[in-house]
Amino acid sequence: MAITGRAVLLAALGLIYVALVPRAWSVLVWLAVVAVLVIVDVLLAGSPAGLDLTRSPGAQVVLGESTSTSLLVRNDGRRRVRALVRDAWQPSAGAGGSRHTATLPPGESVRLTTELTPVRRGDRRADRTTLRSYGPLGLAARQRSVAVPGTVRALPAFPSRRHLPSRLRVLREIDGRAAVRVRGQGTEFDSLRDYVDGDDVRSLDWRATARRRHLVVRTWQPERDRRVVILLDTSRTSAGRVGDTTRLDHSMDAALLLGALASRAGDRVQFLAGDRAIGARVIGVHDRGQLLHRLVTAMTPLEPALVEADWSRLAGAVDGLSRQRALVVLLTSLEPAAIEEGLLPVLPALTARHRVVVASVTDPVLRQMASQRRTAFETYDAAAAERTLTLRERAATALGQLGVTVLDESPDELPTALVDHYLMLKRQALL
Amino acid sequence: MTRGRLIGASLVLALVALALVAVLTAGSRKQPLDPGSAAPDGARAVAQVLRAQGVSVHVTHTAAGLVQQSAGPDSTVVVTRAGLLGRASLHRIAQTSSSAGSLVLIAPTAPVLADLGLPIREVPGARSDPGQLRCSTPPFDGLRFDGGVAPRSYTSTVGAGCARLDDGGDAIRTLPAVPGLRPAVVVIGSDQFLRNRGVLSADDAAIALRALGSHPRLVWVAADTAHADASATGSGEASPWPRWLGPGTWLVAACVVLLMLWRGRRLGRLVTEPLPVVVPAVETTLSRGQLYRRARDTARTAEVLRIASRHRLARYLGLAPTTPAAELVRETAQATRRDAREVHDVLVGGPVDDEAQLIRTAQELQNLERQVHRP
Repeated sequence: MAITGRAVLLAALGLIYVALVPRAWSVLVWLAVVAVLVIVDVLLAGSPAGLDLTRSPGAQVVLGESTSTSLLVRNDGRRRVRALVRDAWQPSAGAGGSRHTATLPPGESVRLTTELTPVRRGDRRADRTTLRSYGPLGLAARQRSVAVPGTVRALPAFPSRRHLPSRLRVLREIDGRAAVRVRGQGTEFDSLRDYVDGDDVRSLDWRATARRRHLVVRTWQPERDRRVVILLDTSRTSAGRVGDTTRLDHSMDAALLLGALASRAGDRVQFLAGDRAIGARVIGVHDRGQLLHRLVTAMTPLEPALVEADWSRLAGAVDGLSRQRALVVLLTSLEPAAIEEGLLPVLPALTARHRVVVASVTDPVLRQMASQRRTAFETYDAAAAERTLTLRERAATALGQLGVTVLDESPDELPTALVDHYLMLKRQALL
Repeated sequence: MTRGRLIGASLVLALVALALVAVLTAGSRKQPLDPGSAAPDGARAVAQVLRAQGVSVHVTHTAAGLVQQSAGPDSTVVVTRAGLLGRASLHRIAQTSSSAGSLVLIAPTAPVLADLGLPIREVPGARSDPGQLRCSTPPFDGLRFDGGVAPRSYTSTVGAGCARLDDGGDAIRTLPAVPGLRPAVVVIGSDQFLRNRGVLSADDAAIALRALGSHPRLVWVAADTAHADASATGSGEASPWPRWLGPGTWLVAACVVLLMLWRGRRLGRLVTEPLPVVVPAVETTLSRGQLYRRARDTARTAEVLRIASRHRLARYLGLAPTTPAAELVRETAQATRRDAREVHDVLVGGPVDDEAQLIRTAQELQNLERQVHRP
């Protein structure tokens, strides 16, 4: 039950009556009148229990964009219902205008649509839906909350998507599909074709030329069907916030760009994410179009966990995928303690079989702090920042000595740095 | 017109009608115990009967009115609702009536009795309905007094009383006259017997006639709220505030409670947000800076900055990170065309004892780096 502003106003109108009949009992009389009217109004209000609620199936939306969810409200009761409906969602679901008014004669239904703009990645859930049915006098209402489950899935934003076209162009150049196929751009024999002006004379195939009696060149193509394993660290170091979001989200961005590019390049992409254990995996997807969707779906529910990563288990999971040589990309953070105690001991086994790249998000604020030295206050902070940078560099050096490539970049640059490194490896046939 | 509006309109109409009735009844209402009022609370019946008996009744509402009327030995002075009169008024009444034939006080409170200077005490406390009380003192002997639900009870060392109550006091008390000081006084602990409504109960009419009609002239001081003194000792009915203020306050309080109920009722419960753990990535670095700051360890702070700068300079100059400091200083001095000793002081040696030196060293290091390597 709930009363409305009108009931309060009605009670306040009693001041006129009290002024005219200034007795103590006139207050009681007036309040009794208000109470009776409120009770009558509640009794006359349509029952909210008679409303049947159905929600449209859950939607998917890329983080930062809007979608909507709709509730179908049907009046199964015998009375007309004038109701205020609140479709409550978690705050991070960004439900704007979640309150609706509905007037429903018996047997009729209405569709109430709530705009959702999730502000956080992951599955955002609906809470209870509250119905407040007003009486004919508008003095009081009956209220009831029912659970109408609903979910909106906010997919990772993938802002580095905009870099994909330019990198695909680079890939095509390497691939030789758009440009001339010349030696040096890949090492796998592709085909023989007639010589045209401009072809590199070094790529002439003399044996074929002798057979065909005119000039024939060999074409080459880069290796295909190489394996790329992306391992996303979701341990405590990924919980650090850099800029607007966590390291984990920035790492996801980089992983998505690499995954998209590598799948276009014809490589087999495998994705693992975990901390103490593997929390998500995408393995054995051959359809290029499907891969990105699968990656995004696997990443969506991931959250940073406040535990130390178990690198021996994570490395074991990478090893267990296949015995074939692969490019292993570890998306983690260059946290000196975590690297030295967890990752370094298990790396030699990994580098012996695979090419390993460690990609880490660095906070641009660190460099800014290190360069500000106007006051004593700032200088102490600058020293602290320099110390952190030195330690990170030391960890990177230690990794480099094990034959690992380290990419320590700011959130904006990490995805492009990672795919550029991949393209470089591809170009030099080092995969 | 919807059903809701119809009901709303009829509600407003009912309100207006109620207000109208209230206004009309309020207009015809008169003060209680007024000798001119025919309302159940008024005292017109008694006044008219007295007039019919040949008593000339003079009505006044203030003490000043009584002075004008000048009560002589042939007059009875009756004071109703004396609680509405202030101390000064009561003194004047006491003075003026000292020459009167008798003074009748209707249900005076203890402060009123004190202000009038009468040796009568009120017995405090609430009483239950005593019913009809028998009287045996003149001039009321043989009469039954109905004092209503809760008559006041009085006691005194002199004079006589009748209509005895449970607590030992009397509902009616008489004092003999003291020439020059006071007339004969009759104190009656209830005003029911004067009211038009109560005058027919028991022998109340006879009591009223005997108390008020003992002299050919009656001066009736009918104090009322319209003429009440600001300094009135108060009998509970007198107040400078409008009468609706009390009930109005209660109603406003009730409205505030309703307002809280209205605004406090949630449309469904609060929804909680399952927040993941997120910490600023630079937090450990900021804490380290705070640690340096609190320790004021300028030497160590400078050393940290120097190590970082030496490391970067070695890289800019194409030297191995393990290059000895002396060689690095030489190379840097060459690249910047600065004095080697000066560069050495900045980069390696040079004590850093206070914060001023620390800032200078930090900025010098930055300058050196910029001179070697322009980004």
